[in-house]
Amino acid sequence: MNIFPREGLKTTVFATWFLLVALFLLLPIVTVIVYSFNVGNYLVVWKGFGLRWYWRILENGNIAATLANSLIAALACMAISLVLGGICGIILARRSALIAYPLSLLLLTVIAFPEIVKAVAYLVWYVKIDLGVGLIRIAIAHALFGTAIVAFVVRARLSGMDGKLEEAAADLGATPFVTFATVTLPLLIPAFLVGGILSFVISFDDVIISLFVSTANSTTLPVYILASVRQGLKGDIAAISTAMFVLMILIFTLAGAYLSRSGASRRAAMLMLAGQNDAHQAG
Amino acid sequence: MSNKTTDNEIRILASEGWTRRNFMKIAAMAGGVAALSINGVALAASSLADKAKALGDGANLGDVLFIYSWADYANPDVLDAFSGGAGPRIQIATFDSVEAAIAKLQIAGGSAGYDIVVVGDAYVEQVIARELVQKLDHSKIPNLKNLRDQFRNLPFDPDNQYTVLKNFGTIGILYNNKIITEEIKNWDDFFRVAASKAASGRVCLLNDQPSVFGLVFWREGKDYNTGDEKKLREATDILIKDLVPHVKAFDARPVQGLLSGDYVIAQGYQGSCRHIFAQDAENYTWVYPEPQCVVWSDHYAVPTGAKNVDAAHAFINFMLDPDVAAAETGHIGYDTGVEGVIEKLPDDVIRKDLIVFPEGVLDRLIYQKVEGSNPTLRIDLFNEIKAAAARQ
Amino acid sequence: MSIFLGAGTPARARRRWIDAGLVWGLVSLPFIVYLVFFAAPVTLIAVQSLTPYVAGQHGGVADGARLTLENYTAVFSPTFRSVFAASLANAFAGTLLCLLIGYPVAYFINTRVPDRLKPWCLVLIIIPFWTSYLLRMQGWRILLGANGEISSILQALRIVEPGEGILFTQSAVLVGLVYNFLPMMILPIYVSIERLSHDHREASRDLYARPWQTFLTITLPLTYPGIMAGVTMVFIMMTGDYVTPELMGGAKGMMVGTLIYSQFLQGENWPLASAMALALVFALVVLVLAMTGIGALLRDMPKVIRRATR
Repeated sequence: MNIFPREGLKTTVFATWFLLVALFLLLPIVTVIVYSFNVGNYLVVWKGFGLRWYWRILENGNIAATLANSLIAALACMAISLVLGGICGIILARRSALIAYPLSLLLLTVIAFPEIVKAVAYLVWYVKIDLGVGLIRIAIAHALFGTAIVAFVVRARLSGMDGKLEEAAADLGATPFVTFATVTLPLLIPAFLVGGILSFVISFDDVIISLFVSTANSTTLPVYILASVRQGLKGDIAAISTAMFVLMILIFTLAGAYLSRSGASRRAAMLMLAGQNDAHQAG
Repeated sequence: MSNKTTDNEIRILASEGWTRRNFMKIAAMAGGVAALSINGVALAASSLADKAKALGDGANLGDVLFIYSWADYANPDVLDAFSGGAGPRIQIATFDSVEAAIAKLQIAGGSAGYDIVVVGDAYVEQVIARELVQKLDHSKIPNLKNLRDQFRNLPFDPDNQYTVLKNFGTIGILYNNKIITEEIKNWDDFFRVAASKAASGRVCLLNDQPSVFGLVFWREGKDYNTGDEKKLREATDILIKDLVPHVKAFDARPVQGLLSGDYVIAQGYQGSCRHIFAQDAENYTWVYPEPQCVVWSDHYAVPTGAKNVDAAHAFINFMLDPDVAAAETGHIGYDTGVEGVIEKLPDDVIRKDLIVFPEGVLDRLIYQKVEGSNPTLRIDLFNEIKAAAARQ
Repeated sequence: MSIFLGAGTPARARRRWIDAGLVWGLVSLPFIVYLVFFAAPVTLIAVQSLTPYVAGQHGGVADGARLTLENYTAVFSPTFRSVFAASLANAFAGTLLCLLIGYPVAYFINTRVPDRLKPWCLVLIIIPFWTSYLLRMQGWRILLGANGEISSILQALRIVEPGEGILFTQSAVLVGLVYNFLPMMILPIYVSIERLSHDHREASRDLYARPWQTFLTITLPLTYPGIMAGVTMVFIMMTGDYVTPELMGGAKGMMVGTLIYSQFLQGENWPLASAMALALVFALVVLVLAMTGIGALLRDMPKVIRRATR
């Protein structure tokens, strides 16, 4: 075990525990990937190896349509979350406690509120204000959560830097706006990247709120999958889930590569990823 | 089975055009996989598509047809044929309870976005009264004449003003006959076996309150549509005492659980249970239980505010064609009520006795009625039953 | 960029007003959005929870109705209480398991893994969190079913009867919940261990404290913020998650969320559903406050003990 600087029994025990947990975490994912190649009609009965279900998902217009819905909603959510979340994050990090504290409380409430309660409330409200377009409903509902996430990530990033750079810019005569545009924003790009991905993924994967709030032509992929899973596991669901998994891995790898090239330290990246929780610590 | 495969192959190779669907079938063959229909119903893909084209007749049927229905409730080949021939892609949104579907429609006002909704017979009156569906234009459904007489003038919708039969079916018992070796003939047996050592803890009931309450009333041949509070509470107590301790899950699709060994006996819908025999013909037994059970039917309706009304009518018309209806029945396992459907089923269709009720069964079946059944109380009591099951 | 000094011309003053206006506009934007799309809906269901249920009306809500507490009385029916207790029990057990499983992992990554490998370890933990929730559930359904791989192992070890699986049992629900929220427990704990300076622990060792003493009196209390963050997040989310118990638990998977869903969409009883929802939120607030209080007490335990034994 020469990768570990400190050897000994305790390290071995810890390492074993970690491996077990990692195994636990990856097991069902690997299972579904393997079973997506099961050509049997029922996933639970292994019938043979083949690409049947992958052909099927290419064929199935429904899956394509719901996938498109999910992507559109997630992108819209990400856009809204980045804008609103960016503003909130800056407020949280830089503004006086008078505004920042209530905002922090509000965002934490949104995060902590049980999904089912939010879903019911949103649906009733959308009906009341007559907002009928399903995808807009979903995007807004998801963005409320996404904004909070982005806000905390941005705050974590900003609070890690002191205001010296911005002070310097001001000393050189830059107006607040110019400072913001040329100094603050570029520094925040890693935070936006991380926050954007987080809000995208949370939106893409959301089940309960999408279930309640969607209309006919705005069914998202997870809702479609949920209906299928309840009715019995079929291979096409495993196939599309695997495909989505590969896509997510790609996104994260690209983001990781960009982050490390742009100089944001690994530690900063990890802290940002956990930035949402970092906020709980501090506030 | 291999001869059938060759026949299909030949027909496909002989058909004109290289549609996406043909490609998929060839690809599937190349992978050595059976087609999705659980019967290779002896109808070439191209002939179904031709029918759809004839129906479309150049009329603009739009890009998409949205159907709101149960999951797994249509033959994918039939849907593909409709899309291939008549134009619009079909997108199915699913619900897992009729009440939830109606609630969704109602909440949305006219803007739910569905062009066709599949409604259970007991709920048709409700959706008509709430103005959730619109009147059908019979001039666009000439195939209506193909519907067998008894389905054309139903009490809750005389003259098919709003709805057209999709299919009908019943509920029964499906069990693993290697683990449960005694014979089951009636609901009493079901209760008894459920409590037995072999089955206890591995029983599956359906996930809707009429079916579960039905267990108590059908057992005695009593009126299962009752709204009488006292009777319903008594039924709840019986269920909680005698059946719930042995229940593993409330599941509308028990086939998967039976195959995986999680259940050994289940209450199930006859058509969906039939699929188990395609996987394993011997280890399971199906029963039409005595003395009483329900016969339910599902109907196509067009919601108010549907965007693609023409395509909806064209689709319904398409489904009423005898050949198409036969393909549908052969796959989903429910009789679609169209003239000649049963005769058109291939000889080697799997478990025909689960599509066509055997002699005497229909006489034992009664219809569900929602009106007067006190649905609010029933839902509360059903939640109580499920909560009791969770406490076990 | 030229250098200006002083306030100067009216044009500059006007621009400063516009700037200020824009800034205020931007700052208030999120507040407005949350007001319209979050505060309003929640208020609406709060109001609805206070209106009486009228059968036959759309959603069970009649216009211009009086205010009443009858929904809240109905909420505390035996059914709701038992289901709610079950939901909380699941959440407690699940949160505890997450903590017990997750803390060692966070500790290990932080203290034993060399720096260059740390991000990879974290990524390993995070990957499942960012994969599709339903993908993970499907996987467990296959594995835990009676014929599944895990069940075969368990049967061989005689932990379950032959032919049985743990799917659709209480254990399966816990597996599902823990699995879903474990990363959410590990991350904040990791962050707070990370912040804890290595120096503290080294100092403690230099003062001849044994490793477990160091852990109990230094590491654990100082990572308290991370623990509390993880615990509260995970607990709240577990209580509200009804899809996981439904998919994994079968009949055992009846949770508060299922009740709310059923009353809302099937029973069309929006007042009751709203009352249940708000009752859930109130209960969660109370519980979280209690847990925070107990947590603070536990954190201060070493101090109290030391003072008492002086």
